[in-house]
Amino acid sequence: MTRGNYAMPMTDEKTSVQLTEARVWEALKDVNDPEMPISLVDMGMVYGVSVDPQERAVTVKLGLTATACPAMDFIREDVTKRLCQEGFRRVEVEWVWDPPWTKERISEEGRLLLSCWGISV
Amino acid sequence: MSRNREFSTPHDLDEPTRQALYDLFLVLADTKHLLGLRYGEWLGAPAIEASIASVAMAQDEFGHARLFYGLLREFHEAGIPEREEVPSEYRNFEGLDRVWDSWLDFIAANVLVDGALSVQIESLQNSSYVPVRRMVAKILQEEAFHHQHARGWLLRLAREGAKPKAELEKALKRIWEPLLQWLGRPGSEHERALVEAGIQDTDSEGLRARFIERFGPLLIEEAGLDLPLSSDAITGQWVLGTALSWEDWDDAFRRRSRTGPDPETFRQIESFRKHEYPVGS
Amino acid sequence: MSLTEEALKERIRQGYLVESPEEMTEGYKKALIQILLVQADTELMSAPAYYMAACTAPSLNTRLSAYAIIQDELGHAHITFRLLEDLGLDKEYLIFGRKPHEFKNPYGFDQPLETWVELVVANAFFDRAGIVLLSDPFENTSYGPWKRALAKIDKEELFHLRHGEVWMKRLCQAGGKIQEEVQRAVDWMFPMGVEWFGMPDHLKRHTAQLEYKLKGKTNDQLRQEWLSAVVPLCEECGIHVPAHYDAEQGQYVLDYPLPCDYDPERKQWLFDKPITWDQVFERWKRRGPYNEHYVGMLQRQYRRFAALFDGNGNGSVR
Ligand SMILES: [Fe+2]
Ligand SMILES: [Fe+2]
Repeated sequence: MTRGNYAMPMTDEKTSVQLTEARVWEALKDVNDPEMPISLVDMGMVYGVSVDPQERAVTVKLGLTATACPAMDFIREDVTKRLCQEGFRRVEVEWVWDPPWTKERISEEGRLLLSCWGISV
Repeated sequence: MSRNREFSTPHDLDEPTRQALYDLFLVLADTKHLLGLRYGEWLGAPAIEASIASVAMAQDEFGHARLFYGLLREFHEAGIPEREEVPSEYRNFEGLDRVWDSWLDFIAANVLVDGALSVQIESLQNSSYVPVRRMVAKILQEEAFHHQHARGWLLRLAREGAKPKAELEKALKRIWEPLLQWLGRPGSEHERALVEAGIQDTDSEGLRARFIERFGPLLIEEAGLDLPLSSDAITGQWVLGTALSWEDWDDAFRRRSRTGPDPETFRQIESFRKHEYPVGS
Repeated sequence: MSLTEEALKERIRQGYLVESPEEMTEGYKKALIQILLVQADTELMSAPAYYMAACTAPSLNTRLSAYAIIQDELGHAHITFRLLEDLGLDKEYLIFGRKPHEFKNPYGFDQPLETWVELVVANAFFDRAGIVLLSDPFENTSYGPWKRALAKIDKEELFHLRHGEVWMKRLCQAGGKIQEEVQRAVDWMFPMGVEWFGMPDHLKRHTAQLEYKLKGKTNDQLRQEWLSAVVPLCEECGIHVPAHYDAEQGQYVLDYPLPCDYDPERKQWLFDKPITWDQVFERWKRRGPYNEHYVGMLQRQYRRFAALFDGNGNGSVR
């Protein structure tokens, strides 16, 4: 389901906050790459987000830095946990390889943080 | 290659093409899996930087194998039975059946085996089979580092004295012929099906031509190695000096013998089944 | 105008970070080399131990995570040997030239890790020990280059730890035979972890490492930190360990005599055979059963490869 189908976004009854894509992006800033000290968003790993507010479902498209990522389970688990806190009932993580993740996708802020950790990119 | 037809699942393919593609993916998956095992054995490479690179490349190969094994799942759903878990059913390149004797064998495989795999995978870049097309760029991005590693060591060994150079030549020759064959038998039903469906952009002779165009300059001109490969004085085209014999060749397995990995090696793969741990997905 | 011991110690007390050999006294340098060598060797020898267990991985995915950890450890070793190189030591000799018994890794990495279960318990226990031991200098050390190197190392160790803990919990949730297997691994690996932290403070001569602020915490403090993570983890897993929290003392206490004897062939601690620390040091010196095997794995090809270059006037591989 795509964004814009709903003139009136549904609200989460418990918290009365709308389940929007912007909110998912915001929440994903709290989820770190398990092997890096910066968030998935700053790593440029979030390729897309789509929300179905009625179903309280969200699909997150993630591009992994390597095909051999040893932390796929951890990433899926962390993303799911964080988005459930936002009020989603169904969280789906999709792995995307195309276009491949590259270092250029790391945000300015991410670069700065990484350099503080002594990691050059 | 025209993009008129696109296939998103094995169900979209006719029977012979489906089988040929299944065979290709299984060959790629098993070969990358076993290449990963062999790379990973080099904790004790001649320098710690090389050990780190070996283990890193091993993971890449496993990562790629995981992608190809993943593609196979839908073929099983489409009716192709899962293979029996015995060594003789494994379709890895022959040169990976047993542990490599020396670091030179490592470098030979790093150049030739990784190189041939990449040539094969590049031919899927514009594939009409969408699921594989989507992963090619990522795989090739990672393979670029393997090639750099291979090239660096190859040139160093070839230039640092007669003895290492001669040993390197021997190591390359040990896998030379089966490796060139691995790219496929001309006229096989497999390659016809894959090329006609627009899955692969050229046939086995095309793949071999690309392979020697890429590695001829490195092996012969830059490294000065003595291998049956030369460039035509007039056309500049690279020509293979090895006549490939196709006796006993199995198109589906891309091997001459169906022995599979040796018992020592297979024990490590068997550990995937002989346990009761909750491994999950 | 060489620096006196007292002047250096005073500088360090004021929070000054030492950055290069020129700013060290001989005593400082010696103590620094000693502590770095233990770390480098520990990182290095964990690789073949983990590799041995990785060969029994139950799936391609798990094998992949094990390799990722092995690569990290080799990377940590590399970083640490580079630090030693900056202090004038020969990295190549340290890795490839020493005899097996000269490596200074803990006794735990002289032991065979034979199963997937032993690997994940090692990640949960031994990598936890690594984190405890290294986050101390990360916070406290007076040697600047080491402090900075530890930032990256620490982060990666956390991944190993998570790997170990997640897997331990997962295996124990399965219950039955699998949980029993975890228990068997813990039975020999827990006391191994306890012993890792060395002699208790009341027996230990005062140390140069603390005086130079190469590290900040004592053996007992570090051991307590380790216990306070590992014991609750095991309790959560329904796994028994011979230690408990004593509310009165406000710390963890062991339910067996430390130190005691160990039978490496049977992977069994002999709680009814208390020994002295001198006897422990002797056992460590005799080395565990896989010391030669692991060092051999790392060094064998180096010599063969170097022989290729004999007569080229190029003895060195690099
Ligand atoms: Fe480490
Ligand atoms: Fe570790």
